[in-house]
Amino acid sequence: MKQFIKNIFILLLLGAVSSCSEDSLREYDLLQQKDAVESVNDPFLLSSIIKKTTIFYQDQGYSASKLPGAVQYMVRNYQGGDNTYSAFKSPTTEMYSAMDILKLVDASIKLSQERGSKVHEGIFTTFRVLLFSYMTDYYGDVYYTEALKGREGILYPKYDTQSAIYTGLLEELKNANTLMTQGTDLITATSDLIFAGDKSKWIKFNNSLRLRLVMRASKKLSNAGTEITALASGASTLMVDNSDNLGLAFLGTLTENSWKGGTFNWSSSDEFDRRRPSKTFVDMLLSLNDPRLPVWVAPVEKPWTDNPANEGKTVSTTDPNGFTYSSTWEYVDLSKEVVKAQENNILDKDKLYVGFIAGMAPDFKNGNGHYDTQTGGANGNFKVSKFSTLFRQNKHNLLKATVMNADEVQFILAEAAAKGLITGNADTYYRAGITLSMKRWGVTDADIATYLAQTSISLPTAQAGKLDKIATQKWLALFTVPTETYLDMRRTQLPNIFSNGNLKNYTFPLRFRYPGNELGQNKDAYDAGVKTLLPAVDDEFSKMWLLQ
Amino acid sequence: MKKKVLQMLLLGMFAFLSSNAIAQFKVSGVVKSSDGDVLPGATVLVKGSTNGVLTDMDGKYNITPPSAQSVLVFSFVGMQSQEVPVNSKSVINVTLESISIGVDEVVVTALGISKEKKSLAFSVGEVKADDLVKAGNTNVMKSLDGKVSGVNLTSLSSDPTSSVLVNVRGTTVMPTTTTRDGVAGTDVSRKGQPLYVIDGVPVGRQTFTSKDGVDFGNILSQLNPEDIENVTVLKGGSAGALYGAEGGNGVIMITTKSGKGGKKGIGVSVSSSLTVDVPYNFIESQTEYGQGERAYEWQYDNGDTWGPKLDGSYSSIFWNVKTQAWETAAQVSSKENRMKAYLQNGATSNNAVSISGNYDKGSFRLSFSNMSNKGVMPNTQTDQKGVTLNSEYKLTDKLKVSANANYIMTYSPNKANITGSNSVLNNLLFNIPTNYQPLSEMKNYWLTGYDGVLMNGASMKLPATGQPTTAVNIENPWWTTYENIHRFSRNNFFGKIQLDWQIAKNWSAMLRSGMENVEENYELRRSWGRNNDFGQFNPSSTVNTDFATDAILTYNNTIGKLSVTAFGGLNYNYSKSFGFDINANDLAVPGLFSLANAKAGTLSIQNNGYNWGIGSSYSVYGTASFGYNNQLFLDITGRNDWKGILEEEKINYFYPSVSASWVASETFELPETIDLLKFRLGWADVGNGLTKLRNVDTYTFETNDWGSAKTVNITATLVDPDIKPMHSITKEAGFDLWMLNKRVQVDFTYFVKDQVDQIDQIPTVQGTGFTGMTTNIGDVRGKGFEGGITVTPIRNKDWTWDVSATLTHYKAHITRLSDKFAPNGYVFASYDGKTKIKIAEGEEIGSIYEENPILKVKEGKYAGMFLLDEDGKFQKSSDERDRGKLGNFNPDYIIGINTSLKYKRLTLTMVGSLRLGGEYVSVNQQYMESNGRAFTTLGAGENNPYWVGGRDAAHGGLPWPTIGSSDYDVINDWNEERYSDFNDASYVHGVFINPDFEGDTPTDADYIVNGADPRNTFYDFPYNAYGDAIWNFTSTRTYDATNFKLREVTVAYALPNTLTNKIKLNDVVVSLVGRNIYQWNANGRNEDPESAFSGVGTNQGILRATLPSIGSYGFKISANF
Repeated sequence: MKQFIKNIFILLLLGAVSSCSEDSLREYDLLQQKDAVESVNDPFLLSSIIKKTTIFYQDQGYSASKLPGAVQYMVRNYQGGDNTYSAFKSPTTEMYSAMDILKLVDASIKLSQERGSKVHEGIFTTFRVLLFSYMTDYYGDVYYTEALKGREGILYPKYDTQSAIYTGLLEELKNANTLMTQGTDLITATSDLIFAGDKSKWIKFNNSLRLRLVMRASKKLSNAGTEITALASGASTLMVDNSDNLGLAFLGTLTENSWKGGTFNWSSSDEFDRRRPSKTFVDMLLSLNDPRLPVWVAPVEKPWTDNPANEGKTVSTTDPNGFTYSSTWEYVDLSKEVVKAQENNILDKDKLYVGFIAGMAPDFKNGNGHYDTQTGGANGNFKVSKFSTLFRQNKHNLLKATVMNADEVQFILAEAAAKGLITGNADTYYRAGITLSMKRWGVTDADIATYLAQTSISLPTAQAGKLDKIATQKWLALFTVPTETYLDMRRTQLPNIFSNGNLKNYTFPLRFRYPGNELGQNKDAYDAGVKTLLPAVDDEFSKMWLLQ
Repeated sequence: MKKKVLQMLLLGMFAFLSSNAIAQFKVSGVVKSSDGDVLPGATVLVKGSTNGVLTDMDGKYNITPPSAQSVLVFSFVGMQSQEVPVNSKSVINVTLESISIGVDEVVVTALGISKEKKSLAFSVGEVKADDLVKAGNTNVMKSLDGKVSGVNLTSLSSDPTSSVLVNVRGTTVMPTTTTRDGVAGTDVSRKGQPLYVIDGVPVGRQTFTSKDGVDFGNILSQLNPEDIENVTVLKGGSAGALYGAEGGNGVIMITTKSGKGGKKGIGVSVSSSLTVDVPYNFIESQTEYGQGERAYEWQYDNGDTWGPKLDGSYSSIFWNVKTQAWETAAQVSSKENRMKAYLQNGATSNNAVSISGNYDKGSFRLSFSNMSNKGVMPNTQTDQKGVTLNSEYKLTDKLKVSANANYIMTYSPNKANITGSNSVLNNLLFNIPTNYQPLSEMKNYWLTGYDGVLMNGASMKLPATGQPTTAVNIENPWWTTYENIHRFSRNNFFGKIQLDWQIAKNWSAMLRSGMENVEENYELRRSWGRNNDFGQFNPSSTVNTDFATDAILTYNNTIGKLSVTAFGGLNYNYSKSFGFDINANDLAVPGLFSLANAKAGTLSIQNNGYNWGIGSSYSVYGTASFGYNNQLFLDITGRNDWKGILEEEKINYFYPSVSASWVASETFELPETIDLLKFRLGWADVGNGLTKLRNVDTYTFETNDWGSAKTVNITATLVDPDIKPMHSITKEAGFDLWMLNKRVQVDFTYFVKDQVDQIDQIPTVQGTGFTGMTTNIGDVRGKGFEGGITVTPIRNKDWTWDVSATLTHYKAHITRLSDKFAPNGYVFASYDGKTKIKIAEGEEIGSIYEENPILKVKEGKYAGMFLLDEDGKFQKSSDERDRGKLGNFNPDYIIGINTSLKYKRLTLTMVGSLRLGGEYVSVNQQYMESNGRAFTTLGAGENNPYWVGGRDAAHGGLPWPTIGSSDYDVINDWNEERYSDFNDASYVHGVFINPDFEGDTPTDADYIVNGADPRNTFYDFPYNAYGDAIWNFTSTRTYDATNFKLREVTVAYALPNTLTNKIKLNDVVVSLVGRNIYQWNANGRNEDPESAFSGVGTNQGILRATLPSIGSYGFKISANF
């Protein structure tokens, strides 16, 4: 009996101690970890970076209304703080998202260096420059040389000055260009979600991004003219055709690969209905007889008319993309009490395309004299246009998550020519820019020719007038890319639409406030960053180096 | 013999009977209790022999002692034994006194080791079987409330089957800003859960299974209360030191009932209870005004009720949900409290039967239970079935084998979300305007002709241009009830096998192996019905298995006045987890819930790559307890753990503890009134390291490819290379005093607990490329006291009155922060999106701060007034130093009150719990204000610190100033845009800077007080001026959480056995029970501050859309055969 018990004891003890050695437990984890690193090859990293970066840009361009609101593409008719720049008043955390992608970009650069894939390293580095420039352009001084070095023990990275960052970024771009030119590794077509493995197009983007940054800093860089001349001279290739555009087409099969305004992302139409084209935008398109107007903007559901004979008549419109709308005219019958009450609000009559007045107060229901709040509800306004049904699609060949287009390049060159930074003809660049933009939105060659033939399009001889017209066209062309529009308007103060509508009591903001926890956690760096602003306060009106 | 042993082990049941000695001299008599009841099954033993008999059903016995001078020993469970010399008497009748708590009573302590209560040097809380089951509560954890000191039990909701959060002596966990293992860093309550041990086998900390916001109850709240012998709470570090790191937050020891110690032979017990669960304390909202944003303007699709008065004068188009047609009619109020109309009475029944056997050679107990709960929310149900077997067999005099096996099966065909924004309660409270039809008219929730495809919403939207269908504006609550289903099942198997061996006189050994295997299955089935929503099917499954094996060698001796108990042990732990979670985000065909029916590209695997988890640890531990002359006791324990499987993990920790107690009443001759006076002192150090963390970058593939291209995410974790193990050091001192024959018993303990070098993630600035770094983040010190008093003011033949109370108080503060963490000395962590937590030295754990401080004037005449922006609105201050503290969710004092009044066979018991102090934030109020539901939205009362005005003239609305009358264009423009002939102008309190001011620093003269001059006032209509304006500012909805709950009231009647014996029943008790039938809130609100959670098991102190209070009324009957 005793022997039996002893045996049980010993067996159980042995079983307990030997059943799992540490190594056998460790093996599974280590294997997974090894697999995780070795399975991420360059193509997967490339597709990931393209996707994350383009979607990140696009999210700021339409679904978030802070920037589209600030540049007056969009006015919200519900929760409309963005109509009056209110989000600029709070600390902005967008830095996080850029840093998240940059973490992957940096890791990818390291892996491509280990593998010796120079072309990929060059592309990744170009994206690095793009994202860092985004951060510095919006905030001022930010992390740069000490960024992303937590593993090396830098837990509180300092900020670099914006001028140092610009110098560094332009240097990085140059290196990236060399890497791409010299490299021989092939780009997998399916992973290159935009250029299908065409290296030359990545080099074009690299050069065009350089052009964008140099123009942005042209006031501060002594060699800006030389740089731009070199880029414009043809020695470097630039994005010249819409096939060069860095824009990712949506797949439209899932929420995450669909246009933000589509039914996957916004199953209810409320969010879509809350975003209306601004009156500034619509009136500009109308005044120039712009063929892009019906592509972008829907006809009003119940437009006002001064003609009593049209009362109740319905017209049906089909836009260039085949989406149809119906509009029913309503006579401005001042004998009706409800209409009379709105008399002062009725700004647009006998028009099918009407924008919502800029700088309108949040939850202002009566834009353009809309009174039928009972039927319209919280988001309905039958007297102001919505965006066209195009923007309610999950995917469409005209909808892309865009970082940069060829038309922007032409407008930069037009500006450089008008300012005498380069010797070319501003008008040629200007018209090329308009043409590229129109083509990108599906406008026919004939319509483009008609448009360009208008005297209202011609550039005047005076430089100020030239710059104004170029800026206006660039503003229109950058529609859906307001990340760039904002930085341009801030730099040039053009087009001068800052007092449009009800905006005269509001000042156009010049930057994002640093994320709130920078003050709490990285105070020394933050204080140093604020110190270089003019005046040295972390608010939206202080000028960073670029603007000083 | 060997074969026989094996058979016994397998069967786990035994049937041996003892035999009697040979007769010589006869004695007979009756054994009764002090109540006058006869005691069947009492033992009558001849002292110094094994010769004994049991009393029969009538308490009678016959015994033949060896001589007329023998001494008889009468004993019965729960009664004081009596020795009676025979002295040649042939009839001896004995009355045994019952004992409540004996001085020599034993308590189960760490590792299942029993110790004399007298020798304990630390504070333990104990709840006996009787107190757990008295009120028929089916949730063990809920029935502990009010009964143990030093423990804060918080129910996640009033739902009888909900999870319970347990914090022993508060929590000393430091909040962090990052989420780890699915637990938010700020969720200190959940991180500080104690270790649970059943019959000596650790079953881990409690997890909270929640999916889609649905709480499925914690695992241990599902034990059958009838199976539990007692629950012991080891509060301090000394008590739990033997469990190592896991025991650092206290240990809850559950001992299940066994057949041992009962009467000899077979016994059967049954109990049955049925309660009706009745919701009460409904939140009230205004039912006077309907949809819209201004009192003269109707908006049919707006869920806000800042619109016109519902006096029938406003006619509007509306969706008649009953006839499913657009109609135009006068809008009137349904006057319905939606919550009240929606909820139903629930019912909970619990039936349990157990069979036990007790013999000389062994014992067993086998029980079955069946609990069924029909929820107060329609279409919700929880069923639970349990089987438990406890057995013990003495192989020889020196060798005992015991085996326990438990199986609990829980199944909910549907359990609803009761907290947070996804719940139907949220919809009922905030989204369904009062002018909508009564809920009873919404029952047909499918659009005619579109069954299973399109919902008949509580309200619909007119078809918009280019939209093919009418859109759902507000979800039909009945659709959510019947078409958004959360099915859940849990199989929990746990048990142990144990061998006890008395090797020699002073040596004994124990070998125990226990395991727990919890399997959970879940599925979410959401039908089509919402616009552009194609339903969802999400099944998932997890299996967690833990094994623990202990081998312990014990030495026990008494040498003169010195007693020594020492043991050494080895422990091996192994755990394994597995899970999968597959989500079909869209269904191709409506109503078919299968993964194969997923729309192309919408099938995804959650938590890819984290399916398997394996862990193990080895430990060596030992204790030595010394007793001197039964009055001085010294306990020393030590434990060393080796655990972790990765290099980064620190894998070696030693935990020592020392505790001492002195029974002063044994040392000194104290007045007779004092039965026991004991002083206690304890110190313990418990350490812990890292688990499953590494300092590397890894990549994971994203679930959905981009077309044919794979995409990846980088997952980078950062671990401090200089990391050290963390320690939790507890010190406690206390005393016990028992007086007047134990009619007064007092205990008191003061404790200090230091959590030193806590390991967690510090947030790193985003510039590092990492969201956080795992390191030693700092120290937290908790301090507090706990005490109990039990008084028996009356104890006589017919009457007994006992009153007892427990008191708990604790506060924990951050005493040190790593300088790696917060170079500025503080960090604010996001708490629930509407509030923040401050992490700084000196900060009290549990404090909540404003998410957005209101900007105020800092200097001059107007200092302290709200500084309005250029539109005359409150503005957020972005200066972290402005952030105001809202309060602390921990109560200052938790007081439990128990009283029992017994008259003959009738007993009345009451249990109440009083929580004093603490604050919570009512998100309910925030939404009700913003949506125009709260009564406070009708008009600003006097002295309202935020606004002046009202919805209409009757409620204080002001006339709008003449257009253009202001001195400032900006005010003219502003007021003109909002102007109406209706008296609904309102404004917010504060000052604004003169619009003409140009410069950097305004002086007193540059400020204008809003409202001082009606011409120069920024007006707005109330929806904006109040509902919107204070939306961001939480300080306006923080309330005192002080509350009292009457947890249990029972009236029990024990039928006399003389009566029930005729139908072969014993101990029949019939009770009427009431649970949670009354609640008092100091703030007067109809909310349960205890349900202040923003989600399941997360973020205490935030209350949003939870169930109202639920009272249970019913009866219980129990009996033995």
